Amino acid sequence: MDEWLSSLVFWTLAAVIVGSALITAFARTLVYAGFALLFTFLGVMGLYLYLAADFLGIAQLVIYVGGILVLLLFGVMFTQGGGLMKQPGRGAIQIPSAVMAVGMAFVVLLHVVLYTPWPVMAVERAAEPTTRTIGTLLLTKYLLPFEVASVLLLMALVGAVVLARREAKEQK
Amino acid sequence: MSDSGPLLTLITFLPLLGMCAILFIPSRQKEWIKIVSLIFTLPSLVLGIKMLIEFDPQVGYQFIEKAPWIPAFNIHYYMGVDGLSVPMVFLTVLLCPICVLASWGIEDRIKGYCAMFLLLETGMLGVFCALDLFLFYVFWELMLLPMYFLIGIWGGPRKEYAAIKFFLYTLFGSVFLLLAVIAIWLATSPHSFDMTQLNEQLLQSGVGATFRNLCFLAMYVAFAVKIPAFPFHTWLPDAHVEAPTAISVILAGILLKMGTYGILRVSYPIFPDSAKWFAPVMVMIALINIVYGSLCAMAQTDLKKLVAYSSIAHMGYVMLGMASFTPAAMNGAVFQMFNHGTITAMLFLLVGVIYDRAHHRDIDGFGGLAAQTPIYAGITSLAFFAALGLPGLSGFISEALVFLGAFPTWPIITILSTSGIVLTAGYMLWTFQRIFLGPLNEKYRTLPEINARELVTLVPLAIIVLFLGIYPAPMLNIFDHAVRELLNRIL
Amino acid sequence: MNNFAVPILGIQGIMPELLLSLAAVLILLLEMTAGDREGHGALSLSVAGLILAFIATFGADGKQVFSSLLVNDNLSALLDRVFLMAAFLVTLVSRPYLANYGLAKGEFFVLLLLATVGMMVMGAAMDFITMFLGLEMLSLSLYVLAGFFKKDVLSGEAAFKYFILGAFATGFLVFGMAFVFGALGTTNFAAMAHTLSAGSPPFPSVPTLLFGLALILAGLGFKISLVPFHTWVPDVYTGAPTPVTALIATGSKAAGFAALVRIFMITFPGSFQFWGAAFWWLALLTMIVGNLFALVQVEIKRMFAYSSVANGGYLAMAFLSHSDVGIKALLFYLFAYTFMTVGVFGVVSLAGRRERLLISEYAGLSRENPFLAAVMSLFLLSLAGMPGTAGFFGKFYLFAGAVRSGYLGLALVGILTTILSFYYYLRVIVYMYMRESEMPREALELAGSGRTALVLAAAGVLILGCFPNLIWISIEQVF
Repeated sequence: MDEWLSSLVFWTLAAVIVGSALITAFARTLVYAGFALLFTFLGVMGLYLYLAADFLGIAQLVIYVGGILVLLLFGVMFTQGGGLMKQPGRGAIQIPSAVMAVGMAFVVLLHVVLYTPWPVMAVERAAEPTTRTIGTLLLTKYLLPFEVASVLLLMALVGAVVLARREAKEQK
Repeated sequence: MSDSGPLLTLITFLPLLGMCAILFIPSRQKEWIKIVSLIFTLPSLVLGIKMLIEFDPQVGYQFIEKAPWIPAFNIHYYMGVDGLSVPMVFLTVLLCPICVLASWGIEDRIKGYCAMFLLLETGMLGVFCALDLFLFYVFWELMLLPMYFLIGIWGGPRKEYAAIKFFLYTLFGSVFLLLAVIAIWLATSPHSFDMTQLNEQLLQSGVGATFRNLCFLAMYVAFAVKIPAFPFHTWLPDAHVEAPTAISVILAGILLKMGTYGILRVSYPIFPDSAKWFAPVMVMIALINIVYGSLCAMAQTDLKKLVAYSSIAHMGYVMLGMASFTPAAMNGAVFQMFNHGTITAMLFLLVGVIYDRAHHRDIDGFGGLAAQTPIYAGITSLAFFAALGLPGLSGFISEALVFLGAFPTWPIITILSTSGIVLTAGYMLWTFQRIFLGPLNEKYRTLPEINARELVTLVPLAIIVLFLGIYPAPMLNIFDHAVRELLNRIL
Repeated sequence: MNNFAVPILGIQGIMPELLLSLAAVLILLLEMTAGDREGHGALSLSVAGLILAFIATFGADGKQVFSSLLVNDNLSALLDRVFLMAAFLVTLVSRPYLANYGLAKGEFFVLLLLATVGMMVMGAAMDFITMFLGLEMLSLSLYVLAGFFKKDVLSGEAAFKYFILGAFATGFLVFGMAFVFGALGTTNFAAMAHTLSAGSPPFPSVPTLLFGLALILAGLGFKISLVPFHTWVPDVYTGAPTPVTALIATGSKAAGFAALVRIFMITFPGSFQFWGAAFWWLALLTMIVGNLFALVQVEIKRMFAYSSVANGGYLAMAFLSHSDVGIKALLFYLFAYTFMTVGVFGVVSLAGRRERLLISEYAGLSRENPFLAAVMSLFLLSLAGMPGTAGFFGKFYLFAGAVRSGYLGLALVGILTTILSFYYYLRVIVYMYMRESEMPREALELAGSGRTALVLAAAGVLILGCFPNLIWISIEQVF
């Protein structure tokens, strides 16, 4: 019963993710694509939660749905206004080659998935929120990446300023 | 053995030091640049004479310096000279100051010119002193570049074509040399580049005759390009004609010798049996060089091109001697290398003298100059006679030795080759007649006589040519022992 | 809080990185407070930081620091020196170059320093997490730097292309890392090697691992621009400001190779039979394609872009011949390549009054500025592999290593393409010295720091060309 329920949850989430991703790819307007993407993100969040990664799930929601997707939709509104997209490159060469590439990737992935002896770990379900563990790790074992990431963000800030800043005066 | 300190290192690298010094002189100070480069060629000459005096002909390699250079590959900085290299080193240090003097007229970008020239000198001396095959290759390549620049930047109207042709030919040869060097290194165990030991080491590691012959052939291509042996000779007339006078002197006087020196120093001792195997081909090429070179020379109307083709013919004598494996012929070949160096240097200097005045080199465009410039005509006649092998001048001795020694081994080819002597005499005398004899060409009524600086460049060479023509023993003694040892190895 | 284990800190282990980051922050502060218009302050701070960091690399003690996320061994110290030298020379060239366009701003140097920090983190990483962070730091700074000339359409195009394709490559890389993690259950290199040597799971039977490694190879192949992952190179190299191009061609490429060495050679040596064949083809294609395309270029930066691709092929060959000589040859060539490539791009930065000159526009440079022409010739000859220059020994070691490891065919292709390369390198020399420029131009003045950089690079090329053992000794300590 438990097994059955967990399978149901997984397959439902998977269907949501793949379906909405397909809609994103084939939608005729950017707005539709954007909204379909919302469900992809939500589905991924569901997967995280399902795997008991509560912090990751929330981060997914906050960053991707709350941040990136909203920004994306704003961008769409301000530029194209959500009109119909031109569909570039759906010629006689593009479709077969795309199908071939995707097909090959699929076959390889399938092979990888099926023939790998996956290490199975017995996970205790959500005894406590993972935030505590993550926080401790970030300040102990993974202190260095944490700090490097801060330098990286500083760098990104400087870079963004450099690219976005309006030149004060044309200098000769 | 001698305790004269790092003599060869000093001889080789003092010019390089001069190059560094020149780089710090502002390019406006043209006179100073020339003076400094002259000054930096002189210590090598002095040390070269010291080496000549201290050299003991009865001993093998001398003035040896050996230090690890790249231990990971068993490469050493290994310098030393024997009887074969001493004349070449001496020739180089002698010709270089002369060439700096002969370049005094150059004004355009003189700083670069002198820097390149001094680098070239270091490269050439390094080739003659190196006893490590890798070091030899490095110097061999090092020399190629300054030469390319010297022809390509300061050359005549078709300099770019001549320079690139020279470069491509030599590079082509170098690749084969490199392949042979690597093959030899891989075949020896422990891996070695020691030229004095390679023959034994190769025999020990038991490489087959095919391998040795292939290596010999690859090296031969590299050296043949430099000699230049038929059919790799076509770069030479272009390079000579376009190069400035001093560079033609270096090209003919020293660079060509590197080809034959390389065969004697590298190919013969390392692959003695392949040398014998290849001798019939080499002697044929020598014949072609002699006859074809002479015939081409005869057909030229450009004085410099004529001298260039005569060089091809004269190098043919060297190859004939080398392929005969008798003491007389081999001695003759080595002696001819030295003599050709001095004689051709004179010829090119003389061509430069007249070109600086008349601004053309058309043999038929002169006439009767003997009356106008008697000193010039006198020295030219000496050089021409030396080139055609007049008894009493040094060229005669070496050519006679070559023919005497070659006759027992290759009778027919030697007889055919003597036609070269006749042809040379023919075109040399004919040329002399067209330029100097007959009625004076009115255009050159005011042609100035040869000046003191030019005389300084020519007289030392003339003295050597005369002296060795009358009394060749001192020079022959230097390399006789080394030549005989080499022959022992081959036979 | 009793489970809050204090991590093994190793501040001395990240000293070079710390010093550089500090210099970057100081430049930012200076920019805000003093308004360093001409970039003199930024230049001095960068130079000071780089020199101090260089000195700090000699404190390598071989220890793993920060819970084995970074290692401070001879290899990372040596790589750090390559990165720092490249960054140092590029910094010196940048100031006069930027001043020429009125853009000598502190941010440029900040980004340059942080890119260098990224390289160093990458070279010392012992964990996928640190390696990825280093790579991102490096890449993001370079994306911005490539687009630093905002008024210049081509610079923008370069940044855009670099970013899009770089992001794709990063995606491959992360995907690959995820698969490897999935197979082995750890991101730490030492732990992975340990798991593998323990034999469980047996390596070849894990398709996940192979697939992951293949993806990582593709992602890093982009960084080191192996054919067929090189298509971004010509446009980005041409469009980016030239000193940035120099850094992309040297530091970034070296960092890519560092990651390759850490992952493939040190962590997965047993999998050689799988990635060896792939690398054989990549090296072959890269050498041939790079050299052939360089042959037909008319624009100088584009030519050097393809020449840099070709050099990546030579490096890949050294990487492949992982015998005792091959890997050392790789490190030696990185040094030699850094000197000559920064030198070449340095000259290109300073030789033109505008960006993107044609090769034919170098005619007469020997008259305008004999110094530039002379050092340019030296760098070109070194790239071609002339004896007496660093490039000669670099190539010699490479080919010797390849031959020793049995890659005779690859070595032959390498030698043949090297000969081919003589043609396009010499062509520049022919223009500089043997052709006169169509319109006589006045002499070209060189600013002090640019000249210093070129003199240093030239000295490096010559010293390595005459005494290769100076560096070879420290390389031998690595393995």
